[in-house]
Amino acid sequence: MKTLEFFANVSIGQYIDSGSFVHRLTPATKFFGIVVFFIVMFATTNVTGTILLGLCVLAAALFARVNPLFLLRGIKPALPFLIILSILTLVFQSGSAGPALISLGPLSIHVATILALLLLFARFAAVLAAIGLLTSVTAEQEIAHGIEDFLAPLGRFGFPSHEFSLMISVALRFVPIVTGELESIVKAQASRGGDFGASGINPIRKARSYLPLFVPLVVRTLERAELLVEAMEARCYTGDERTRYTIYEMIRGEALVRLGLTLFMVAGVAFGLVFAKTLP
Amino acid sequence: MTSGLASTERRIPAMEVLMASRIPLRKIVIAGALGAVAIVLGATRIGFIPWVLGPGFELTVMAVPVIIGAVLEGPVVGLAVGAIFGAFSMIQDTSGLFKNPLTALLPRMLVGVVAWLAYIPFAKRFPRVGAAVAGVAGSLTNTVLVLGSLALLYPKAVSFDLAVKVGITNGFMEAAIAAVLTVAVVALWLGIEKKGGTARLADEEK
Repeated sequence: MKTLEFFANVSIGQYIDSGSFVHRLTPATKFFGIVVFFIVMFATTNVTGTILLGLCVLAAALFARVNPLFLLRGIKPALPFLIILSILTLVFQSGSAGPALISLGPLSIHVATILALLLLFARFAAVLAAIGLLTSVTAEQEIAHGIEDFLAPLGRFGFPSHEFSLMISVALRFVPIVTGELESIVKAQASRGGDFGASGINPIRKARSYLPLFVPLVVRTLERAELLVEAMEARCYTGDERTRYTIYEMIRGEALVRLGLTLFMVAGVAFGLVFAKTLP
Repeated sequence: MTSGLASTERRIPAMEVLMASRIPLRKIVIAGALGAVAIVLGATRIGFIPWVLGPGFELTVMAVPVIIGAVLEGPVVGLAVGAIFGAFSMIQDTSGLFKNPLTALLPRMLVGVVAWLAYIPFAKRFPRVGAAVAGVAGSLTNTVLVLGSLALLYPKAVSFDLAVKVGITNGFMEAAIAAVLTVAVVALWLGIEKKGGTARLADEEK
């Protein structure tokens, strides 16, 4: 029986205003930061580079007066899965090139595999830390505005950046609502003896036992969405001519930060490409 | 009967401005809401139905909100919900295989488009059949494109052989489940719309 406590799993990061320089940056810059992170991360194919990148993120966290260990907490729930994955990979390794570390008859552990797994872990930790940092320094309002501001230049190419960021805001706002809905449906069905357990192989039967959970969830969410649309239209919300209540201005030194991020991106990609083969 | 506005103020006739929006508000909000459903199904693991192959090979149901969005509101919404689902799966990914937008994002966006295309021929006369076909088509698109891109881009981790095996065992099951779920929701929703809208939820909250 699955746990009924869903809210613990769906937290979208903890925004704690510590008033640091990083917190006071405009949301567009914060988003630029995470984009730079991902670009450098894709360009980095070795473990050393990824670990360095991760350390940069943790250093930024310190600078933002956010506890780095807090960011890495998210690894805990995924740990069992990662361990099982590692064991399976090590055991079922198809004979690849590279020296074997230990050999026990048919099973052998290759250095290459270990490095690949380390890369996996490092990437996972780095991404977790980066996203955690972003959500720690960015207030909920700012997330929506940040996406919108960051994508605004694309508007020139016909990309509907305002509509897109509105959709993201709606999605973010609906996640806790949907979670609550899910929880109440599960509890209601459970109290009526309903069980969503998989019953055998037959797909139709499986799906049908899932229906009492899925259908109410989606239909009620759609109904809420429609109510929201009505409410917005009743307040004359339109797509054009929008002004904002909160205006973000770049703070002192922010231009330097943006420049710094750009340089970091270039350096990071260069580093990743150049040292791809030479370092583990 | 003067409007009471100073000469410097601007009148914005409400109807005109509502029409000027490039993408209708309704589609934006519904796309966001269904995107949230996909996210919650993934984050709470409720969207992963346990299956014979064991943990890691569960049947996933998160593509269904994408399909439903496409069937009810069109290809743009399908694309958008697919994008949200894809982006979230990139974030949630622990195996490192889904960090690539080509494996995680693009296939899911196409799920929405394909589902809509599959639905359109049946939309007027046989919406339920259309919903089932869309469910199958969308789910298969997800299976084929995701496994295919994994096999192409990460041949070391995912051999073609493995991809085909997983695809066949899980793919058909997921497609069948997607069909059932899509039909159920679409039939109910279109029935509600015909009877005149948001009666249910609004009633409850009085």
